[in-house]
Amino acid sequence: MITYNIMSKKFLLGLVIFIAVCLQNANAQTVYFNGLGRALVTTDQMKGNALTVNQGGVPKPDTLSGRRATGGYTIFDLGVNAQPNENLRASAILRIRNDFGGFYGNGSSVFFRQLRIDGVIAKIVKYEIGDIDLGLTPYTLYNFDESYHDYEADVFAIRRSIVNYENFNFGNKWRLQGAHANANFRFTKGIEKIGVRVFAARAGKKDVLDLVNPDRVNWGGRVDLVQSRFFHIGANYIQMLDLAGTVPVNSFEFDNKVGTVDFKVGYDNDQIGAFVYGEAGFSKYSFFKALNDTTVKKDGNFYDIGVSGEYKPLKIKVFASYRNVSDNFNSPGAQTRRIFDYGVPDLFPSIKGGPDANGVQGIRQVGLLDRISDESVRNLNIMPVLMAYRPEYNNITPYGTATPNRKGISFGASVGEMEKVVKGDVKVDLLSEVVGEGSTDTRKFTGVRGGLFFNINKLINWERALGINFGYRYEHTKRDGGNQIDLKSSLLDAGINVEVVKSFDLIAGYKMLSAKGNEYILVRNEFNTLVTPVQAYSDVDQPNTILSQGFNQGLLAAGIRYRFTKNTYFTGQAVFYNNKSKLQTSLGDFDYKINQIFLNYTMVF
Amino acid sequence: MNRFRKNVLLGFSAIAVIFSVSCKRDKHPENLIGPEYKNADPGFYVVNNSFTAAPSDLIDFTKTQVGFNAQFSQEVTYFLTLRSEKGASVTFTDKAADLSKVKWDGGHNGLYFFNANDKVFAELSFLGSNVKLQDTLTVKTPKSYGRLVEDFEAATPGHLKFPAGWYTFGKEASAKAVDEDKYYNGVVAFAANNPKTIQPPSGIKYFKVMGTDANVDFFIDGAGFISRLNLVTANTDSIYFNMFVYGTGNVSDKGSIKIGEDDNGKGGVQDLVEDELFYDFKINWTGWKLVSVKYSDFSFTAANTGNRIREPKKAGKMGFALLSDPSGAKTSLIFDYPIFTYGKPLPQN
Repeated sequence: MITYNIMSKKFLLGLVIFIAVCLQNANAQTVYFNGLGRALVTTDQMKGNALTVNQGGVPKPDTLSGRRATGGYTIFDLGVNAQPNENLRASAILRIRNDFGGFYGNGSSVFFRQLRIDGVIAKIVKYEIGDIDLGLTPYTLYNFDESYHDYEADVFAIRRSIVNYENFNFGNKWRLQGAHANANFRFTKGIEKIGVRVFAARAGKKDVLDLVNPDRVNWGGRVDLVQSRFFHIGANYIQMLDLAGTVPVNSFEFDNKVGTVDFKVGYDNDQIGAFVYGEAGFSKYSFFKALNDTTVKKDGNFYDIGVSGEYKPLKIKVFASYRNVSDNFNSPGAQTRRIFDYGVPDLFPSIKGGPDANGVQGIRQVGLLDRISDESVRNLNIMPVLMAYRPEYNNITPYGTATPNRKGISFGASVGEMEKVVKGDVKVDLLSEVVGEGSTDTRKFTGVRGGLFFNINKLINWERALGINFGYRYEHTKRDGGNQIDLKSSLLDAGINVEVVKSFDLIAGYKMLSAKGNEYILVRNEFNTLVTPVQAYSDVDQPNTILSQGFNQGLLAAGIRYRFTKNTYFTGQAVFYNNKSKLQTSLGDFDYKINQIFLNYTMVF
Repeated sequence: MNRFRKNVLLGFSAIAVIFSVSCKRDKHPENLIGPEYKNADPGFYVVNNSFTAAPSDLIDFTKTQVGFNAQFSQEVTYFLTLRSEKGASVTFTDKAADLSKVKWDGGHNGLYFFNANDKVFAELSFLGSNVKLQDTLTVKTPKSYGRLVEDFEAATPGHLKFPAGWYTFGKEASAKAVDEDKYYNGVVAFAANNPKTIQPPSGIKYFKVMGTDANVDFFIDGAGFISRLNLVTANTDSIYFNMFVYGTGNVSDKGSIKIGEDDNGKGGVQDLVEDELFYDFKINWTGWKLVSVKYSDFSFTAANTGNRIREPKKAGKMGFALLSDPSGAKTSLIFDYPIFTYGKPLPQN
């Protein structure tokens, strides 16, 4: 992303020319515009024991950490699409941003948010070059959700959608910089089509002045054969590697290959559907670090096979699957987390007198509120090492479906759809570790999650929207033997939206996360090898552990929303966040509350 | 039904493919991954609440190692962390019922060395327990890793100081006018409140050569000394020269290490007529990095007419030259803790 100061004369001149050309071409009907405008303001107040410091056992007010804050911004993303013919399109999204408090250019910035060229070659091969969104399968390239939120309230979904937009989290794809091409070859007999796609993209952003770290890229592709709607099979390949020669001396040489095969076969008609599906594959990992002249290699593999059935008249689906993912299965594109659990939040980062010399204590942890509203704690780069995570948010599949060292059964059912009265589902995971971590005993995981949307207005034939939603996720991690682990966590979602006047909604929601028990995590080194045990969650008072008896986060929000069009709305919300987590009792209690007023106008055109 | 049979056949074929792809399950000879650990059970305690180091005062690491005494009520994963006020640290962790296996030889994890006169804080903690015990140690003589050439600190035990001292080459970095932003050739002392200084790996002082290749001849300046190095082996494959070099990110930075040999045994090293070995390196990193070079990997300076035999025992002169690559640029060579080690390079943490 190229950033310019708004006061740069050259950039202003370029901008004027850019717009002039666009307008000129617009008249020739070869250019069209789209975009997004947003104004967002929050005003916040924090209070609680986290704003005290412990002086000789006596709590004193923390005079260094903030208690009130007001912030926000106005952005305007102008998407300019130049399409001289049906085979070529160049598009750019130019962002103009003015932070809350910025006047007359001070605090303002202009930069290109996205640059992309796409088109069709010989009416067969579609291609994209530039900032593109890529995804394959859940075991190869997949940007999995940071936590379970399938049934969260509209009042929170609005906040999450903003964070997703700002961080290019569009579905389960990764925003990368590179090139992508795909082609479909259709046949008249025997098989329906063969699809081929290839891509190559950077694994993340890199400073142009970085002379040490080589360019790291992902390249790969997929070939899929669709015999009919009853059978398809595909082969996927992705390799993440350092490009030799992109720095004077290769200090690192990372190379990871993942190959998989996936299929779906079965039968369906207007009444029923029944399928067998699955995916299996291997990974080959190699990392050389010149500094300590070491190369580590690991091979891993997995298989995941399932069956599903559907009774279409009632919109009922059931499924069951079994998977086994080896502990050394390494697939950065599918295992990288999109959130930094140990990141520093933008809002009130300092508590308890601020960070200590190690920069650890005195930093507010990322909590429920931050996970739906903080744009800065998201990760945009595909990581070569499994990232640290907090077990209370997701301990069963912290690295998505491709989480290594897991085996077991998953099953579930779903009913209805969003356009009907009810849409709901439930999924159960009965998993365990393939091999114990730091212990000969293995963890057993039990997970239940599900929820429903209930469109009451459709039941009572009310012309306006009236809906409630409920979601729940329960996890239990247990390990017997000498190193016993017993961690339970619950995540609850509830919400309501009522269209009191046409296009004017009252929206409210509640989200709660609680956890109790203990858990240990082994820290990984740069070679993705487990090295040091740490107490990740405990009922014992230790530095950087959360006391179970005090861990409970509640998030309540209520407000209004006026929908001008489907994608243009204004919302005002009151948010009440209560965090009873404790970190280290030698510093005193860490509980706190944040009260927030949130105003947002978003326009999409 | 034909379609159904066909799909069943396809399904079995697909499953066969799936299992053939993943049939090579990776087997673990051991039945766990990662280091085996044991958390403290409820009621865990340290016997007599006693945690001591021996010796703990004026430790001379050239002569002794430090042992630790503490007994636990059970086998448990412990963390023993030793940390100096200047940032050096080392951590020992294992699963045991006491600390009898722990022997600290003065080594460190990470970049920073333990130095003479350091006060070291030892903290013992346990996985799954809030029990913590502490002790304090003092270092008299730090660990010797080999033949330390110079650490640029004040004279301290175990730190070799060459009586002849260092001299600068008197070229483009050694300008008479004082302008530390343009020219520098000498020792720099780290000061936390001076952002132009850097904390070195060892102690608080390091050497810096900085200047501009004004005459565009690649060579800028340097510093060195003439003194017998007294290296104790003739095997050029088992002796390494090591030093930490700080990379600034400047693409033109380049350094050269030079070793002169007293081929004729007359003392000193005569220019041009005795062997000079050199090793040039681009500084293409940022921050401190250990550079280790095997003696046999040094090249002969072509202009010198020595015996063309690498003879470590005759090494009697060293130079640290700042180059510009490409020529004509402003570059810098910042280094610390130049040391010869025997058998293997300086350990990299």
